[in-house]
Amino acid sequence: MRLKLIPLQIIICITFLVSCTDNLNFDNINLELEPEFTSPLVFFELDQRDFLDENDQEITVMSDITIFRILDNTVLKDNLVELAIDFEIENGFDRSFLVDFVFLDEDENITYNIDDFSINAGDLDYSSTRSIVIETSPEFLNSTKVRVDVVLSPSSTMLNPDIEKIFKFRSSGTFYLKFLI
Amino acid sequence: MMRKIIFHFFLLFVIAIQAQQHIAFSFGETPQTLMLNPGSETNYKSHYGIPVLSNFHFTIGNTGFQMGDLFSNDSRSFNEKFEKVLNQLEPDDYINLNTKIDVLSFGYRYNNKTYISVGFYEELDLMVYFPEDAIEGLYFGNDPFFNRSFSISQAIMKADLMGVLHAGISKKIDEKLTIGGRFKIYSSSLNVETNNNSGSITTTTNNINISRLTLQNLDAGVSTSGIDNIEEDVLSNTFLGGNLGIGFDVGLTYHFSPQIEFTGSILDLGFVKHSKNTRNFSAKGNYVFDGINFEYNSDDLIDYLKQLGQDIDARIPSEETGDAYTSWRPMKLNAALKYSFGERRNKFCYTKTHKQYYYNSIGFQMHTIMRPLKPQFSFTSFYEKSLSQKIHTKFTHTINDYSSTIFGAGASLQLGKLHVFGALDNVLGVRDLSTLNTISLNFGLNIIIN
Repeated sequence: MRLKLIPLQIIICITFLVSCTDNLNFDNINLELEPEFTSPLVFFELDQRDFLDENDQEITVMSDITIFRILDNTVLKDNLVELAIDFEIENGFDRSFLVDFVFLDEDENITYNIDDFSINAGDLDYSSTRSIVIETSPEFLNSTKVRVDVVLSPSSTMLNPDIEKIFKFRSSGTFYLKFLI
Repeated sequence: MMRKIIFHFFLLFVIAIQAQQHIAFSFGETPQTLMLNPGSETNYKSHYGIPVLSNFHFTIGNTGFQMGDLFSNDSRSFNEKFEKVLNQLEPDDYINLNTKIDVLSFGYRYNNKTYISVGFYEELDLMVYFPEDAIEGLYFGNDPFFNRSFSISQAIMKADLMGVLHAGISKKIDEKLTIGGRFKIYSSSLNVETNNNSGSITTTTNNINISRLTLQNLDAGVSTSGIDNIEEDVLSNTFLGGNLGIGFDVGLTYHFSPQIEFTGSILDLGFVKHSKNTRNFSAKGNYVFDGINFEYNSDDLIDYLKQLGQDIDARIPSEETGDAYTSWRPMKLNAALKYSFGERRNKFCYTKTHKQYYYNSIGFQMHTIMRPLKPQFSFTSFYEKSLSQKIHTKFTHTINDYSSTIFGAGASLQLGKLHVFGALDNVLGVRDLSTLNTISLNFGLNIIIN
């Protein structure tokens, strides 16, 4: 009996006495996630008619606003490092524009104002990327609304609604996040 | 030094008491074997499982990576290792956890040809396929992957926690054939499953806005039961208080000759009808998001977010219901062919009978578990060695989804009336943890009366 047990004992002992864990390291298991999420934001098209009131008087400032609830998400809010917004604008008008892209809080106080874009008359290929770095602009995280003001610059050239000219605005945001797990 | 000795004593204890289910299959004529094949031969008068300890089984494995891939002791950052693992994952890679604990188990011989066994066990089974696209999407975001479709169909998982009350009968037809069956009543306290999802999310460029998000052909759903009362009743519901179902095991043992034996079984051919505490979620549709289209209507300011929400609800209707649903048990198919040789002995069995057996056997086994995506196959070759009438050992080599180098060892010991059974699968993985991606343990303590 004793002799017959020896092989089993040898197998068990060899297997486990040489058990090797030195080549593993369970320290420093820090996973750093830095995902980049892109989402379209605001877009619109305006023609010359849109800048004229019922008396054909020029409307110099067009304004629209939307609620912006993305930052209600605490995961996003707590881990957002930067928001980069790409803008592409086609100005078919014979007039230049200023565009104001503003983030507001619940009480419509400005939380972040992206510098005015100045779009020259006839510029069909305007593009720009603006970045909001949270570290330097933490109040941005209180944003709940986005307002886009389109300001028609004064000129001696009058708008003519009978001629089709389009002002196109497009924007897309890339949210840079950072998590440590 | 002392810690090392204690550690090795612990490991010795582990190997002495534990084993893999497929090592237990067709091995040693133990009570555990009856649970894997109700048609296995029994050569004892009765058995009584030690409550909770009569059969404990635990297995965990993943097909996507080994321990060393993530935790190797080298200069690479954890992110580098994680990204390499992510790169090698395939949509059919999965993680599986299964554990079974026999709460009660006993059996007795009705007559020379009939053995009856009954019992109750708890089982937890978790099967999750790695949703590679979702993991990559969360890890990198969608920005680096313009024009790539992230598949929703990769979301496949099934989790079950249940108690199983069972009664089985093993009937010896003649010297060659033994057949058996087992009837089971399942009591599921927790079930979560999602499968057959479809759809994709793609980020593209387009002319309307700079980027576009497209959700295409979404048809997804999750069925759950028991998640609302998970804290209060999760264990008590396994004792016939949960959602009930029925199932069967069938099996046989056939001797082509005194030396060649075939065993086969089908386990868990059954289902659970979930009608209590169910919550099901589903969503279906298509959606293209180009952003918020400002209309500059100064007379009537538009609530764009509300408009967007209504539009999404209309195009992707989702619902939550408490409807009943049926969950099929993961059916298992087992088969083994064994050739015995070497020294031949007589063994005293129950009342006035003897059985001839050989000291050595070799053979092949096949195990299949029906899983949501595809069957999970295991092919095992084995060598059995009886060291005495009361000490049997089994050594296995298994090829399956996890690895092609899984070596296992099991031992069955009779200490008076106390029968101890244990085995460990993936001995190499335990020896070198860096190669470990699956491990199975099995342990049983029973009183056997001859």
